[in-house]
Amino acid sequence: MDNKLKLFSEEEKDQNKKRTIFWFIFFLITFIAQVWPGYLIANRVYPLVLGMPFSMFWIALWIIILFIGLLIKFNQEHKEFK
Amino acid sequence: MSASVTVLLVVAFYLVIVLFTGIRAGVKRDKGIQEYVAASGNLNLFVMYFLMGGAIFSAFAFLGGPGWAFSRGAASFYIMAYCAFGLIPWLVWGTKAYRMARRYNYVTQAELVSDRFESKGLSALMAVVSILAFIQYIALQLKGMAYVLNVTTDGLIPFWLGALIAYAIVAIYVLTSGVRGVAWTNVLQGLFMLIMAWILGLWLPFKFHGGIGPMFQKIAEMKPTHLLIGAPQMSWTAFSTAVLVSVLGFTMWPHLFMKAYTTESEKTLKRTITLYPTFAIFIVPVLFIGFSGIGVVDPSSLGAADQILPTMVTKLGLSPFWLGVIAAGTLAAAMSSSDTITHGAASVYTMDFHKKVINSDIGDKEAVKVTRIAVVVFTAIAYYIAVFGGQSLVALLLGAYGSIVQFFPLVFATFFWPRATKQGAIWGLLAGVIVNTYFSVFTSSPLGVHAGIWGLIVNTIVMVVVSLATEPHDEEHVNKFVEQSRVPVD
Repeated sequence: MDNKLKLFSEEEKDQNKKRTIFWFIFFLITFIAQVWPGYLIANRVYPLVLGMPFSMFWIALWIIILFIGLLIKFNQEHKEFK
Repeated sequence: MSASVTVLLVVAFYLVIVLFTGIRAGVKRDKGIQEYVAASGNLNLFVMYFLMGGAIFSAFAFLGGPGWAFSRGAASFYIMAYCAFGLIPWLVWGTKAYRMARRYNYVTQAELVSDRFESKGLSALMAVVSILAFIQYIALQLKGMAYVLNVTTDGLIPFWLGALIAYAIVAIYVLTSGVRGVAWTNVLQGLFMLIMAWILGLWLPFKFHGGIGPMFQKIAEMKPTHLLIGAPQMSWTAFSTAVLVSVLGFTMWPHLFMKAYTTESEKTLKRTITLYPTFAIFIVPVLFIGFSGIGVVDPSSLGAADQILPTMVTKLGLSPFWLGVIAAGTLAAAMSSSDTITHGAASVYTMDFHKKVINSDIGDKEAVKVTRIAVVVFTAIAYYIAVFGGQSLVALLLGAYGSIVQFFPLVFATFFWPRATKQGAIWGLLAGVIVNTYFSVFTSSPLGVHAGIWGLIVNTIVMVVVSLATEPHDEEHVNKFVEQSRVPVD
């Protein structure tokens, strides 16, 4: 038995591998945006958006981006969202 | 009739409805352990959504969140971040766990992991770690419930009694109906909380500050750093690692992990995950409630910042009836988490500890009985901690996360690293838990990094080193987990 990690199966299609990596990077970006160092640029009170300090709005914004991404991913995998 | 008594009657009426819903869910259902622990694997999207959401709709979010918003400002945003992200790892673990459970009939997380590592000792160890963390989590909920009953009845219900009453209700329907009772009461309570969060979250800022924008402007003037990350609110390292440990650890909670086994299909599971960020948005008005207390409530008048929500609500000058309704809604938050956790803790005890280490021939009905006894014992211990322990709600939970996140390397290795061995798993887990406990309880965590992260690092290193130094498992057996979990069953 070798010591390697088995992240993908050997027969995994290239297209699927690319998709998985794409989504992994997407989630990584949305994560980094909400902690250090991504969040640094949004760590301020003004401008207020929808009444919220920018620091709070920023997180809410990324939550929405995350949600939209998840919807797209689900659609991609299941061809219809019911 | 005194105001406090009215509040109490409204709450009592609500509790009766919850109890009825919970008990009724269990009527006419099969009485075995598959039904009790996993609802026979047939919960639909509507119910799954609220069942998983109940994890967020808790005393932690409803009381602890505003408590932090009030006292620590922007630090509370970490809750929004991790609630949105919490189920993302489940896209991987949830689907794989579901597929393996459909093939091999697991009902708990440790069953899956200990099967892969071929170790009953590991199962028992995971059970012990889980139960200790669960008890902290239950204590948090009990504290929250006691605060609500105490503050809204203006002290009529003493802290110890409030905790006892709400808990008794949860224990009753968990005892009778298992996870199906939990799921349906979560639907009821989830809907209730969603509505309450938005109403209060918008009303309080307008009533006390003339609007959300004006409220934050006032806070920015009074204390500019309150709305920013960084010292003194919460250092960047502390904030970032809190989010990290919560995201990695969220789906490691056995009671959440094992919900993968209750869903009717893989598609429903994925839909639930896709919809989950909507719960994170719900945190926004909840935090507003905490912020609205700034400049209105004197911090020194509160026993604990976590009391800010019921305190603000009593300041609204509502009729006792509406106060009762809101008290009931907040109780709903705490109850809908307590039930899932209690049920999870008891199931873990029975399946992962009792069956493996004490009596492996236990029959189905006996198993359900043992689970019920566990329910009573664990809640008693948690009750004691809630009444006599002193930490804030958020601190209690972050501490518990540090233990639970130590399962992450085990679960990862189960699905992605065939070379991991049972000795590696056990020693890694032990090392991680010891490091986490040391940096949480005995000394402060170095560099402001969450203790669980240090634990995780040590855990992973130990697991890798010990695994490479010990005999690998049978190749076909471990590859079963890696390969079959990639193949959908439906």
